[in-house]
Formats: sequence, structure tokens, C-alpha cells
Amino acid sequence: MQYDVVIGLEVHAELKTKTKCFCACKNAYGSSPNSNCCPVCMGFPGALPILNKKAVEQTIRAGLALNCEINNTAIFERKNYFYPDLSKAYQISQLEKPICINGHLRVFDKEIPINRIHLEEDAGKLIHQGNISMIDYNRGGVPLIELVTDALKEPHIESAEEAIEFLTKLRQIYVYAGVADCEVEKGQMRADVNVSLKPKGSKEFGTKVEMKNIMGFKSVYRAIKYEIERQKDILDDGGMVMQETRRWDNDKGESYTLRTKENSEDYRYFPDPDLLAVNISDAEIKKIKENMPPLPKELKEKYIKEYNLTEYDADVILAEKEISDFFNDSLKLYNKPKTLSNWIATEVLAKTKNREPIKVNAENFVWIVKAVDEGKVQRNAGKELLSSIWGTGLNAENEAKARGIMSDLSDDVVEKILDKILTEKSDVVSQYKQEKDTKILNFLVGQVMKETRGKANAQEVMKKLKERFD
Amino acid sequence: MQFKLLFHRSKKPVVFYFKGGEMDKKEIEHLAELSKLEFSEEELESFAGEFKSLLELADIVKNAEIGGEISYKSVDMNNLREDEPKESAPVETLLENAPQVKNDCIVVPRIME
Amino acid sequence: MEIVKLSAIEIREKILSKELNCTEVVQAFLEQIKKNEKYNAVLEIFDDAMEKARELDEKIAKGFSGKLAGVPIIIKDNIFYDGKICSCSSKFMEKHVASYNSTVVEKILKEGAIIIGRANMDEFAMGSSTENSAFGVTHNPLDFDRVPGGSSGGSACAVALNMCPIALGTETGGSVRQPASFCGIYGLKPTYGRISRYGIVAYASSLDQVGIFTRNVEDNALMLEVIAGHDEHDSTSSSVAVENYNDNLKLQAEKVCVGVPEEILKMIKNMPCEKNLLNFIDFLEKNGIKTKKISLKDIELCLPTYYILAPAEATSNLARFDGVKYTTRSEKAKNLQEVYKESRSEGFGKEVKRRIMLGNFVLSSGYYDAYYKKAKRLQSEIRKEFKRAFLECDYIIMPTTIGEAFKIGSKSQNPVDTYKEDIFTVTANIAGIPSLSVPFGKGENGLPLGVQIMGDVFKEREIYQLAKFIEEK
Repeated sequence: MQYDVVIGLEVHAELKTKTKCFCACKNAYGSSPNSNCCPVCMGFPGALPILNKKAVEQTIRAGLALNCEINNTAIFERKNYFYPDLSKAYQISQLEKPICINGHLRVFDKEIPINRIHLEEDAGKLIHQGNISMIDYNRGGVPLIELVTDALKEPHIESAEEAIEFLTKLRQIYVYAGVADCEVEKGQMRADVNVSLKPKGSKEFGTKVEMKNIMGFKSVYRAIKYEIERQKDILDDGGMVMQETRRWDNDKGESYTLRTKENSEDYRYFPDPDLLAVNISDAEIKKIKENMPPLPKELKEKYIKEYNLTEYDADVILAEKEISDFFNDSLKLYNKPKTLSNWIATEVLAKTKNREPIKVNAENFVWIVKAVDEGKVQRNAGKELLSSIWGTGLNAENEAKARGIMSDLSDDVVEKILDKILTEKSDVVSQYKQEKDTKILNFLVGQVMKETRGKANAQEVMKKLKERFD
Repeated sequence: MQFKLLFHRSKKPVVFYFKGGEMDKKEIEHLAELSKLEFSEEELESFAGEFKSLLELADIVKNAEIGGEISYKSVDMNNLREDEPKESAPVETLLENAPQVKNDCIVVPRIME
Repeated sequence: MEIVKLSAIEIREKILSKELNCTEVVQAFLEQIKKNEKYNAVLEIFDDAMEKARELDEKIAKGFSGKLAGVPIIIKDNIFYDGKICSCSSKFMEKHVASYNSTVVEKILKEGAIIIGRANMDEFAMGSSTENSAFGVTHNPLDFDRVPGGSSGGSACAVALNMCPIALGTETGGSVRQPASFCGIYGLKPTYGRISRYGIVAYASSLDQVGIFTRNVEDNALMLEVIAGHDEHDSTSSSVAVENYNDNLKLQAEKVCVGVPEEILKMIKNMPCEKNLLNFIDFLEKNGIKTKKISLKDIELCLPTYYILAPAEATSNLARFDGVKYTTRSEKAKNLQEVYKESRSEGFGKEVKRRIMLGNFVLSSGYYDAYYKKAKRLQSEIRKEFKRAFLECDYIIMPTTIGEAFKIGSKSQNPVDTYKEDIFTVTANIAGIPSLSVPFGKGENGLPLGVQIMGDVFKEREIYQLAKFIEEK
């Protein structure tokens, strides 16, 4: 039987702020256990939450970047449940009046509807060891935004591929907007996925199965594929899909039941009496909108229209904000977008696979690109030069000189060598005079370069040749 | 003391409720689970009895004829806390009252899922 | 001169004028506490009290003159004082040491107060008699067989028996005014947001306020002046300016109007407090103060509203006491669920468990709208009613309690019977307005009764003015 797949996503991202959501402890990764904590984030009796303005701003920024409406009044609720990583036994979150509602994100050719983006606090971290579990509350209270897609509205996310594209685009937007770093391996971006199947064309939705806390996009992809197949098998056999929450085991490549509907949690949400509702004025929203850093969509248009990059090249540059920033920095020093984009797409990206950072500054990079363009350095020598200064902090020009790859022969020497070559290859010269074929000129330049072991400036040689034949 | 008179504004005499009838033991047990509390059989029964009168009190609210919306106190976004870090508390102080500690972490029995 | 009978203001004056020093003052009060040990008002005398007194004497010699210089204070056992046990009179928190100062403690220490001990209370502030304390009941200072009221019964008893001139309590539904009334002293519940709640173990956050016990009006006003004000650690604390209340306590009797809610008059028919309130109205009229009947038609809904909102918030506030971080942990617990359930079941007393259960009921799925949300709507309505009423009058009066202090053990059977004791006090908490219980009259057993003077939000000065007027007559 044929089925329509409907996928809903809940994506959590840790916000980029200096302090936690409700206290002034540092929002930092990798500190020693419980060193970024205070009575508030440890949930001590008598301690009270004080909302971070920046966290609200960041949430609004995320909402604006995703075409959301911003509520003029936002309310914080308590979500009550017991778990050791949740110091107060409730999470401060938002239910009835989240900061952002009704947005959308373009994925391939669909505008996927976003139901809401709300601000909440992260939980601490558990470390399991033998027969104990240890709690580190450093992450507890870190501001987190939760985006929920609107799977009840069309168009739907219908495949694992679309889900991954959604997450990729979302991550890109958060990073460009400066809202979140979204480093998946640090747990800064996590997704819950729900999947339901219905007979093709049917209006009624099927039973939803949720999978919680999947780490990494590849796992999300596999988990969705697995779940679609699992449900297909059940339905094909005439069975019923159970409403449940499952956990994805990435090592085994399968999921298992975490809890069924009967024992689903009752979170007993109610407005947190320790916090006031937050008024967000239109003026405030406008201010944030005006200060929004350029987003991938705008940049792409600019790259294609103003810089004449191909769509493919623009996408390559825009995939990571660091690359795009590097491109823009380089462009300020050397206004040759096409050349720079080629160099970045080949040389730089080859070195930054696996999300390695860029280890050369724009000045040194541009010096090399320019030197090659001007013929002062051979292309291959330039590439090697880039590799050798990568990660060393060495100055490109000094290094080029030290390696003796600069075309620094004097005019006299070049003229003499030219004389020599033209005499030796007199047959080729006569051939050129008859055919005027530039290939022949290139051949002659090549001969000169060979003779000088690449130290001549090829462009200069060409110029001289042309002068002689005119 | 005459309290009967007191709650004349409730719509109807209050008889409880929960899916018909009084709150049964199973439902009390559910609340105990949400509360992370354990009760002996005896305690459960006595609670069921007490709950009856507690819910009569609560049902006055449920049945009150009154309109209006909830008004929330609010703060302008501008007056929220600035994002400036402050010194955190020393970890020894934070863990002072914890029943079990290891490597600056609070310890609980291994969590099984 | 008997030191322990002095007011806070007198103590400070005598210390600053070198007539007394802090050491002898604290010594006198500590002896007074020990002499009255059998009342079980004070759970712990802080062993550094004398040392603090000596330090303060040195500071005063160098010119320090804080507003509470040398004044001994007792705090309720749910107010954080750094380094001292704060147990909320619960077995669960018996050994819990506060790791920071509450804002009120910070403020009174800055003004030179010496905190000499912590007072008994109903466990986690849930109760009206201190019978729910895990450390035994406190006795009424005027009748040993009776309760002092609660939940701040220890603080009230301590002030009534001259163990300190000022004690701090906390209020959620009358926990300061009711014991003040039972013990024959002054007890203020300020406007919600007037005093920071930072460092106060929360019962119901939207209703909780620190309250003040004194034997006279001026001491009360002095304390409020010190501890009121906005606090960056409490988002719900108000930035309305704090006044020097004692600067102007003169009431212009001919200009004020006291409102008496008709519904209250109906409600108190046949209650022991009926005659006393009528006497009070007479007293005001005789002294040239105009009284006027007003209407607060939903006032009787305050009690049931309270018993939905308070348990709901309490359920959530008390969930953090889970045997993991700072309470005792059950020795029986072998896995996580047992850590939670065994520890909480052993740690909490019966009344606390009852309110946690009730709170979970009104918040649980399917009942939230009918109970909690409805109660919030009612609260908003009631606030509007009070707002309207204060357009017609400057004050609203009503009894503090139904009658005199009741006998220990007389009310423990049906919880709702005990809850009904709060009928008059919860009104001010639900409305968020200030209310001062003023000792006035006696009941049939010769025990004190109290009358509440309520004002519109942030009208504490006006309340003190009327109270001072009554005190003088």
C-alpha cells in the first residue's frame, strides 16, 4: 500500500548569550562540574529566577529570521516533572504565550510552517558511572529555544531528506542570525521527531510516534527512515500503530518504546508566579529587525546578482557562516569575487572538511590569490604556499620570498632568455607569424618559464612576446 | 459556626465528581505518583475521605459564576536583566547540603531507563 | 529598667546614647528566651549572637548608627541566614544549612540588627497553629493550653513574651496576622511585592510576603522601612519608593473613611468575633472617624480561591525537596524513584503531603481550567473589587480571626475546619493589599482578639497612621 508520511520536528538550540537564562552564571561549555552555578540554577529554596534580556532578544531574532509573528506579551510557565538533571523539579518554559508564533522555513520548494518558537531553560548533565549517576548543573539554566513545526498544516515534511534539509537550513539561519552556534557535537542543537503515516491521499492523520533527543543529523535521518519502515510494516500487516514515545539507539540502528500514551507525563503547566509577563513593544521588535545580520537568503542573492557567482558556488560559500565571513573579509581586500570563490571552493574547503576552522587570515590568503593572479607566483606554487602557511601564522609574502618562488628576475635577464628561446625555436616563430595562433604564444611563454624554472612572470613574458611580434 | 450560609454564590450544592462518584483510590494513587509520595493503605483511605471535603471547597471556585480574564503583571523588555556575567558560587558551598557527592557532582543511584 | 520590655526604637536610642550596650541587651534577651523555653517558640538560639553583639559594640563606638543598631531580632525558620540551619520546621530539612543570605536578612544586618535565633512554625508554613511543626507545637503566650496561631506562631509568641522586640514571619494566607491576633500583638502583611522574597523558602510564590511582628506600631513601621524595596533578585518586588513611615504617623481623623464590608457583617453573625468588630466600629465612630458600609460581593470566594492557588504553587515549589540536593535522603532508597518517594514520604509531614496532593489535583490534566485557571480569574476579579472599594473609602476593616486562640489539638480532625480559620486573612493575600492586625478587645476567655486594617496597595503608611491613632486612644 502507498502512504503519505507526515513528519513533525521539535528542535532545541542553545542560545548564544554570556549568562544563563534566569541567573548571571556563565553560559559556558566545558567548565569543571558545578562551577558555573549559583542558588538560582541549582534550584535552592528561596532563590528566584531573573530573566535575561539578551535571551529574549535572541529568541525574537530567531523568530524574525524564520518569518514568525512576535507576541507583544510573552508568559513563562513551569513544566513540572521529576528528574535529577532538573534542579527545581520544574523547567521554566512557555506554553500559552510563546515569544514567536506562525513562521515558516523554505525547504527545497516548500514553505514548511512553524507553529512556535519559545524560550526555556536547559537541564543539567548526567554522567553515568558504575552504579551511580552524577549530576553537573553547569548546563542547567542555559537559555534554549524550542522550535516546533506545524505538522497539522500543509505543506508537510514528508521524508527524511526533507527533514535533514530543514534542520540544515535552520542551523544555517540560527548561525547567521547570531542566535546560536548549533554545534551538534556539544549538544547545542537537538531534535525530537514525530512521524505518522496515512493512506495516500487520506485527509485524516495517522497515529503519531515521537522519538526523543536524537543527537546529530545523520541519526535523525536514520531514525526517520527506520520509523517510516517500521510503521509501513505494521500497517501493511493490517496492524495499528501505537501512540508512543520511542528512543533511538544509534549504535543498534533501531528504536525501542520509552513510554506509551497510557503512562504519558502530565506536566501540570502553570504560569510561573516568580516571573512577570514580558511586554515586547513593536519598537523593540523593529530595532532587533534593523540590526539583524544578513541571512543566507539575502547573501545568496547578493552573491549571484552582484558578484556573478553561480548558484552552486554561492551555496558552497554560504553553507558555513565561517566560510562566508571569510569570503566577505577577503572581498574587502581584493574585489575579485569569482577568483576568491574559486580559491575558497577548492583550496580552503579542502582544508576545512570535518568542520575544521579556517587557519589562515584573509590578508595572507588574499596576498597569495593576488600574487598568482598577477603572475608573481605560479598557481601551483601558490597552492603549496597556502598549505605551508596554514595554521602557522606565517606571513605569506615573507614565506614566498624565503622559498624563492617569487618571479623576481630582472627585465634584462628575461629579455636575454627570450632572445635565446626565439632563436632556438625559430621554426615555431615563423609558424606563429603565419597562423597568429595564441596557442603558439602560450607554448613560447611555457618555454621561457621552463628555462627560468618558473621564476619569470608569465604575464610579463607574454607582454614582451606580443611587443616583439607587433 | 455557620459556614453553610457562607458559600451561597456557588451555582449548585457541591457533590463531587471525578468521572462520577467520589475520588477513588486509583485516582488518589495517581496523584501520589505525581507527588512522588507513598502512602499506606490506611493513609490512602483517610486521604480519600479528606479529599472529599477539600474538593467541596475547591468546587466552590469551579462553580462560581464569575466572568473576566486573568490579568498578568508585566515588565517591559527593556527592564530585564542585562546579560553580564557574575561570579558563580563556590562549588563546596553549593554541595554543602547534598546527601551524596563525588567529583564535585551530586550523586544519585544509577538511573535506569 | 527591664531591657526586654523596651521597644526596638528605645533599645537603639539607649545603645547609641551609651546608656546600654549591645552585649547586655542581647544577654538579656537570650536569658528571656531560656526562661520561656517551655513555650517552644525558638528552635535555635544562634551561638554567635553574643559575638555579633560585641562586634557591633565596637562598630557603634566608632560611630555606626544603623536604623536597627543593637536590636535583637528573631526570624522565622524559613528565612535564609547564611551559615545557619534553615529547616522550615521540617524533618526533611532538619540539618539544612542556608548557603546565602535572604535579602531581608542582608538588609537588617546592614542596619545593625542582631539575629539571635530562629522561630518555630508550621512545617513549610502550612498551618494556622504551629501544630504542624516537626519539632513540637508552640504554646500560646497567654494560655499554655492553646495555640499561638500559625504558621509564624513561634515568631509571634517570641515577641509577645519579650524574647525580642521585633520578629520576622512570613505570610501566605494570614500566617502573620492570625498569630499576631492570637498573641495580642501587631502583625503586618505588606503589599505583595513590597518586600523581596529572595531567600524566603517559598510556599505559594504569588501570595508569599515577609511579615513583621511587634508590640507597637512604630517598631513595625521602622522594620518595614528597613526591609521594603525593590530587589534585583526578585522580579516580583516592586520599585515603588519606600517611605520613612515614622516621619508622619499623624492621622487626620476627620478626613478618613473606614469601609466595613456588608458581606463581612453578614458572615460574622454568631461568630465569636462579631461583637468585637461592632465594638471596634463604635470605637472609631466615637473617636471621630467616619465609617461606611461597602460591598465586596465576592469576598467569600477568597478562601476557596486561596485553597486552590496556594496548594498548586506549593506543589511545584516543594517538588525541589526530593532527597537529591539539600534535604535528607531516605536510607531505604536503592534506586532513583525510591530516593524521591521514600525521602519525600519520610521527610514531609501530613499537612504538607495533603496540600501537595491537592495542588497536583487542581493542576492536573483535565482539571487545570476548572480549578487553577478559574481561581486565577476569580483572583483578578477580586482584585478589581477591592480596587473599586478603595475609591469609596481609605481603609477596609474586618476581624483577623473568627475568635480567640483555640486549644491545642482541638482542630486536627477535619482539615477544612482548620482552613476556614483563614477566612478573613486570605482576603488580603488574594487581593495583594497590605493589612495590619491590630490587637483590639478580648474574647470570652479573656484572650486577645485582633482587627485587620487594610489599605489599598502600597498604603502602608496610611495603615500605620490609623493603627497609631488606635494605639494612642
